[in-house]
Amino acid sequence: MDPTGQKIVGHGVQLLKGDTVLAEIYEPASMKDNFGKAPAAAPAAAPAAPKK
Amino acid sequence: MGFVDQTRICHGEGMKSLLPPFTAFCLSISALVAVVHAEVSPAHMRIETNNKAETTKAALTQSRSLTVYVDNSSQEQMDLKVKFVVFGRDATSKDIVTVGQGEVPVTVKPHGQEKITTPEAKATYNDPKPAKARRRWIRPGRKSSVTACNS
Repeated sequence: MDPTGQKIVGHGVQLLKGDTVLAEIYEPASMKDNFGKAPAAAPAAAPAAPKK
Repeated sequence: MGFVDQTRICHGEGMKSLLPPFTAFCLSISALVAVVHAEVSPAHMRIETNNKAETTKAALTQSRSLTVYVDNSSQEQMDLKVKFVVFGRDATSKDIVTVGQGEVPVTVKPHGQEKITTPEAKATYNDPKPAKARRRWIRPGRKSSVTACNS
């Protein structure tokens, strides 16, 4: 079986005043491109029940 | 013609100015306006990450929350908003996905600091590895295609 689910790879934080971004931090920096664009993760599938 | 004479660079006695006084005045005003517009924001932030990971037989469960410190170095109270996203990589599609996101309003007093802790974002990674093949023990001396164990 192929692996399923997600692994955490980074984060991004924006500090806004109204709609103006005053400060922003992305870890790693490449996550800036995905901020507000990345789709929500699909809910993790329940692990298969052990065979009896 | 007169303009060309005034813009000529001269050295020594009787040196003429590089630019007419009015032009120099306009340039200095423009530079001042540019500096005023490029002022640094009085709001700053720094982040601490809180990571947890639990590994079971077939699953890795990770969680991450962010502690955001917001500073206000101005003399006025600031009503701000912290927007955060925790990213994950999908095991199937290999794409970047949003594991957790949200917005937290924050009011920072003049010359003050506020601390925000974001809710935990959780991600579960299931990696069902195939069961290890059992090695058959064959009595030494018996003919078999399977190599006998030493133990």
